[in-house]
Amino acid sequence: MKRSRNVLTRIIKTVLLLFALLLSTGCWDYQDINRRTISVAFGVDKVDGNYEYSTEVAKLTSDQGQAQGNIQIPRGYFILSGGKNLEMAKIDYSYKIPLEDFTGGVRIALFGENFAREGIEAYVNRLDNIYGYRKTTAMAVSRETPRDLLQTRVKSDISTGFYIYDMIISLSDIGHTLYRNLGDVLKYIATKEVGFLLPYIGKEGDDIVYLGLAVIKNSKLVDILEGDDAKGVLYLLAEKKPLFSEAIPTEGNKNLLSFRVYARKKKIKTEYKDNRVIINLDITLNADLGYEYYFNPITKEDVKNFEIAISDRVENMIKNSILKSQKDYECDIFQFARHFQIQHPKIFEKIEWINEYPKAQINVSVNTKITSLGFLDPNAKSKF
Amino acid sequence: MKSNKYEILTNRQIALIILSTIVGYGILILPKNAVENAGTAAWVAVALATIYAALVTYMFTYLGYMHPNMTMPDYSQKLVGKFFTFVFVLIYVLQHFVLFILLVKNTGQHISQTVLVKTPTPVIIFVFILVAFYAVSKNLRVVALVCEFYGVTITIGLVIICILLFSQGNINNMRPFLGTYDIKTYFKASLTLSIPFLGMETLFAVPIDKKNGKKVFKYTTIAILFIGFLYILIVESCISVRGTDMIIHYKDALIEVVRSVDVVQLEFLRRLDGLFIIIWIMAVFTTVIMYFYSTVFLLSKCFTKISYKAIAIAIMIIASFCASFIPLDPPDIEKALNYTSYFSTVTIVLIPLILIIFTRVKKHEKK
Repeated sequence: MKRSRNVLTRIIKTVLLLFALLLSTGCWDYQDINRRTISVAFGVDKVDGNYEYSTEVAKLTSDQGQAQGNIQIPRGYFILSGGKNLEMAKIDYSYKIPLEDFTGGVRIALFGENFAREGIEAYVNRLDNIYGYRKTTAMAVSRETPRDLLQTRVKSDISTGFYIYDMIISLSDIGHTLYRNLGDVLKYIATKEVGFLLPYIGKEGDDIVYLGLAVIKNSKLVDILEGDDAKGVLYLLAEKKPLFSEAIPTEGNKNLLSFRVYARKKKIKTEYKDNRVIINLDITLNADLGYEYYFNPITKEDVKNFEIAISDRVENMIKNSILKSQKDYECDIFQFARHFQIQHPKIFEKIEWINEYPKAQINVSVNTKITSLGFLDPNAKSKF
Repeated sequence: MKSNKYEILTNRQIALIILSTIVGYGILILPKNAVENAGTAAWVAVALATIYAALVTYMFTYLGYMHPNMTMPDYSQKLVGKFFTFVFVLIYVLQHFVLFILLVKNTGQHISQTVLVKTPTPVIIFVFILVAFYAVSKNLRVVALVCEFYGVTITIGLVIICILLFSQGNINNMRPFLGTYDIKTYFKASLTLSIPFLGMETLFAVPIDKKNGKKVFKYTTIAILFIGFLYILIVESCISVRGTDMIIHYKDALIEVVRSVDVVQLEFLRRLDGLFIIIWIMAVFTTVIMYFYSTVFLLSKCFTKISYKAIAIAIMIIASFCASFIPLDPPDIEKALNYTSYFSTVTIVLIPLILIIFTRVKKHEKK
């Protein structure tokens, strides 16, 4: 009798436990994913004195006719809101969405050029204090207003925000741009001595394209680096080995050789002599021969000449971009300050880096080693 | 007072009780406090604080070892008499009860601010206390088992998270390793780290038996040194990811740093915050049950006529009401925790020292 009662209490306990487990999922916070407005990308800009939010929201129910089992996020819908200040624009946004806002899925935040020129610090601080935003949200500056950019229909028919994010990630993987997220930007702003760079994107025709790097000083956009200037910066800054193809002419411009060049080692040594900051950059490049435009023999001497030619070319690029940062921007966009601080912490406390950097002597030395000429033998003897 | 028939714990259990009690709420504020006062040399300050903690823990272990199979109320009565024992016990009860409530309240607020936004905080607090009560009501051995199991999980989890954070960090952020200040600053900085190292005073409610032998010193010291190592890992991994300039702005730096990385290689676990919050809640839970247990145990020593369980229920009800309805905002809790940590100089240094002196004197008399 007693035993059966024990079994009964055990069963009751188990059933109660099961119910408690099943019913208390998420407590008060349980909310189905369909009941949320999931934003995947947003942009902010200033148009005619008004702040403008453009948001792309994920569409969870797919359109008819869309391929089943599509692994990429389908195109979302677009919401435009605005107001005299950031708060009013946000309120306007919440009046325009049907369901509660969920910001944990935002992949990229875009700043319109007008807005970026005015300064992004206030907005970045705002994002920092909204719990939902991930610190890994990518950031970029857009040439067109985000309203235009986010409404661009991407040809592969995936979400525009995801498209831009993927583009930045894949380009930064091969060292052609810098991926900077909210956490990085906050870190740079907290270090008052330095400037930083954000990817710069725009629209050409119907396509969204990567254009270069936006230079941010005191959290304000000051210039855009394009072409060789951007390349010089990337040889120095990209964390993944930056890989570029450089076409080097032979003597007398008879032939062109294409090399894949990447920075293998970057050494930054700093000194403080005669009240002047000296920064020595020692960069070792590796180069592999991609192909010759016209198939010709290559001698050992040629290889040496090519090494020097590549070094000179990259050195010039780096020197130019450094010169620009010192003379045009007067801002340490390479974050040399951190290296100086590490190597001479006591001197760093005494000097004003912002004033010292434009006067600093920066020596660049680039050494190249051609590691491979590929599997084709240009020196083969063709006797027969 | 009650006769002393205690459940005896193994050395490993005692070590893990110390570890899981000390590691808890403090790990959130640790990086900010350490970096703000010692810059990139934060690890030096943490190492110094570990040495103090090891010394203090040695005192507690010594008292337990010298009075085998007794807890503080038992031997204190022999050493300083009934009245002073009563005063001492009340001081500890007060401190542990206050810490217990502050920690529960703070954790509840944290959870409701971050994960369960719409769930009322009193509900979270009540569930937390209810579960803690269940463990405490089963007496010391169960508490020790929970600490043993959770302690190992917390340690492994935190080490894995730190390694993952390091993998996303940059060594340049951690340099210069020895900082720019002089040694005085580091000593000063190490004194500000008392909150993350609080918790060894709960050893007063844990009896040490003759069977434990001298090895118990080794175990408790290793536990503290390991905590120091874990704390250094936490601080340095935070610095490596975000740099000192940014960390000083966040009161809960560790959560902020964990949320700011995206370990792409981990696929569905790429966002570490879920993992971290589970481990952190486990860590706080063990701290809370040890303070809860210690409060109940010491009270049951004072009021021998009331049963242990009755006191546990009473404390649970009072604590739930206090934690839920005393209007304390996060800044108030921070202040209160700071005051309690100042007060802890009495509970972790002064009272043990008095008891040790009396023990030595009594021993000398016998000779």
